[in-house]
Amino acid sequence: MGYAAARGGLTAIRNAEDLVRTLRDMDESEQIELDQFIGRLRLLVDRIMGEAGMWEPRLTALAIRQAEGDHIESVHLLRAYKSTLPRIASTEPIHVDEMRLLRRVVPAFREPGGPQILGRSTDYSARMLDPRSGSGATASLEPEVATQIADNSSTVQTNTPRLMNVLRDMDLLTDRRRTDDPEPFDITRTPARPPAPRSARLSSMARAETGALLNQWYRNILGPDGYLHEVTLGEVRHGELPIRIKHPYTNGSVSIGSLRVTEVEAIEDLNGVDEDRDRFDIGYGLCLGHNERKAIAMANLDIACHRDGSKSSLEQSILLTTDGLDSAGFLEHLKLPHYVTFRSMMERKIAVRNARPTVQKGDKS
Amino acid sequence: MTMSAVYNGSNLDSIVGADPGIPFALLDEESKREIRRALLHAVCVPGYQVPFGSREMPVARGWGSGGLQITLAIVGKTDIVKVIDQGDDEGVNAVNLRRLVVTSTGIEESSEVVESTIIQSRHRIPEDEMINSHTLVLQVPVPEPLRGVERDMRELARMHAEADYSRMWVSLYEDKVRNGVITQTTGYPCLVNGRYVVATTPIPRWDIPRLHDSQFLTLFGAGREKRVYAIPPYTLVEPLTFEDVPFEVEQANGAQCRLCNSSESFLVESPGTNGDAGTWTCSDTAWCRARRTK
Amino acid sequence: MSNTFQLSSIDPVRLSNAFLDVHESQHVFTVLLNSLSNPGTIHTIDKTVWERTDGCAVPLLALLGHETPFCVLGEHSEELTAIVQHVTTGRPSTLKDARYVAIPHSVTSEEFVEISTGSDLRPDSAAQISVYCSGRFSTSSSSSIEGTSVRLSGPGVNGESELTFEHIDSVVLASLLNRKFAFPRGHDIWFCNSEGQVVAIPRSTTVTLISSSTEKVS
Repeated sequence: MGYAAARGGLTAIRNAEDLVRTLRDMDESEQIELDQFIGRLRLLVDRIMGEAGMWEPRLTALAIRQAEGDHIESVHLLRAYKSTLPRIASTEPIHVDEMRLLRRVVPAFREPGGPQILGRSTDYSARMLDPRSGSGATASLEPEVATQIADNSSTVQTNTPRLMNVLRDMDLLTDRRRTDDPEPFDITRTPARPPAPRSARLSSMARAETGALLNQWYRNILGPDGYLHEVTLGEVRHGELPIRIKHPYTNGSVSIGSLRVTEVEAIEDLNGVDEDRDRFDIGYGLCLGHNERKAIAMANLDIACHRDGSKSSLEQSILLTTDGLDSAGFLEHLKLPHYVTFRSMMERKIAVRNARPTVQKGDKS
Repeated sequence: MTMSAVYNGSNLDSIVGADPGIPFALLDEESKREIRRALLHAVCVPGYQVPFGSREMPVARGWGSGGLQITLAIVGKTDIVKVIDQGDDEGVNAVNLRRLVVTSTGIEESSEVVESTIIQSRHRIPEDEMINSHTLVLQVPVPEPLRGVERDMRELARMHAEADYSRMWVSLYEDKVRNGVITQTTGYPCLVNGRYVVATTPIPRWDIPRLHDSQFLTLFGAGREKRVYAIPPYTLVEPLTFEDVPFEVEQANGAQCRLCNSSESFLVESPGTNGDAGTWTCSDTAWCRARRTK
Repeated sequence: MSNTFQLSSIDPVRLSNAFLDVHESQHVFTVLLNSLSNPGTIHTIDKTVWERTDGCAVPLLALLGHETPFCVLGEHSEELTAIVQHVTTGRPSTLKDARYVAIPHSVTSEEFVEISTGSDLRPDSAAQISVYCSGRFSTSSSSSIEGTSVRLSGPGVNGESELTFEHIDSVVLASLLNRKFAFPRGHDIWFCNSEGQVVAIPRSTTVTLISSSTEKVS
């Protein structure tokens, strides 16, 4: 007797929930506090915030803990919570040049204008499993010194010259700047469909599941689709941006906090037959938190979409197949009872068999 | 049956009860209004898939988030809700959806069509007669009926805009020629109001005639694909078929429900074990139960 | 379209009355949905809501959300527009861009032609219109009221039905009888009267004239 046919569906659900909750919360090991996620699993928290499309580290930590580390479930908890909240304001537009840089690399030039800050990155660390990691034994700096270096509080870096502007000054950049100022597309209010404005693509990718974007990028390099080749990265930045809103009474600009983003500019060497061969173009990626592979994939796919110009279904793939909740939810819905559908399918199989002798008898109609 | 008696101690009522910020029917007012505006367009253009800003729900995408959003957007204090899955009120997903609606609104629930005002369903239309005061909310996994013949969304939009369904007809014709019958199982494509072809969700062909010229309003919710559509009462709904190929519902070859003996309801099979013959039961458990207790 | 009304100059009673709570907006929505799903049938908005608010703007007060474009027609519509804007955070717009239009008095044919009928690709970009009618509505074929009678058929109508308006704006009536745009383009219209009754004719309904107060049609 399947679970659908059993009486007492509510009892079954409650039992399952009780089991999950009890085993999770009453495990023998020590309970993980929320600040431990933020302090010691920061990259996980950042990734989940980006996919949820919501900056709130403590709630995110709560979601990860409640979801027992399942990243799709964590994102789901956060987004569903967001559905109960009213939207009370929009921020003022923030220019990314206001970013307080924690990290900046420019692969395109050995000496770009402004500093290259390796920052807090494992890019050049040896990937060797270290049983001492996590204990104080591997910390080689005083904590205060490390924090100061990481925060760059001694040399606050904002308004660092951008490689894009350098290229533009050298007249090496195609000019895709708009003269109008359209409202950005809000994917949480309107579903994005191809052909979509660039803001719709960028925001869809900003909230996309990291692995999905990575896969989209890689299959377009090495897979049968072959839309794009690799770019050269112009800027890879991680830093802090201020959040400002308009005060409801005074109408002045008020700072209400800050958040961290990862930002990437990817330089595309235009080599298409109808493209401007003596110039470059730029792809752009920006996501919440410190998530470089996502922002790099974003920037690549942004320029790929633009160059594709709606010729292929690349834009549709990006807009419609990279959301983690949509894809995982639909996949897992296969676990739901489907016995009505199945019964109908079996009936058609029999109908096809019954129809066959008529065809085999050489009916020419 | 009142809400508190059934859901006391359930995980949900303590979460909802503990947070006074959670609005009536879960969704904030903006969200509800957006869904409502989409529904109002849907009933004016029967069968047209209206895009809407689908919100994330406590149930996953693909598990009824669209149907749930419709129910939560339309529900009022005095509504009574019935929720079924495959025709069964007690299916765990139906129970989960129903408790979400009930704990966030305080309204009453019922397993009887005659007592209900809103019936949310996955994959079945209840066997009981529904009248003008009923609203049927169907959960839709794939709202696009032309998905099998076209993948590109821009082309799909054009086909619906221009009522160009020729490729659909060709595919049905080829199906018939290749297989001797039209092999479409559930979710049979239908022409609504002589204008739009719709995906009738995976309801069995058995239920398709109930949509035509009905007394009740049917609302279709696809949360993952972010669209709603509607079939108003008294609307022409024609399964796509050919003049010489009549539309066929599922045949049961005289099978009867082993519990109530019905052969006039949609039956589902439980396969036999150890060489025994399979048995059949009504998919609509409430209908079957009522028949047995009469 | 300039709105010269500041928050401070809106009549505070009118303003506070215009806020519909979650249950009131749900109730009004149900009336609007049922009337569009069953064209030509009469539904009633609760007296406690109707008497408190500004006539045919009630659908807008119940439906509009943040930045939903709307337009209230008429010479003295600025205060009502400001009220609707403040209460719903909808955006006052030109007739052409409005998704919801309220016609409290009358409309000229030049104005009516501006109201969006949507497109074949996006029929949901059409405007939905709320029209105030002085006088009563009647659906019985032996109606006791004199006025303009129309025959309705199509989705939501059981066979054919009759609807009589004691008074109906001539431009709106003309648009129903002579549709210049092929379905799925068109307008969806709610008619409201002073008793809080609502009757709707969506673009999917076929409308023919039976008789009007100015001329009889055989």
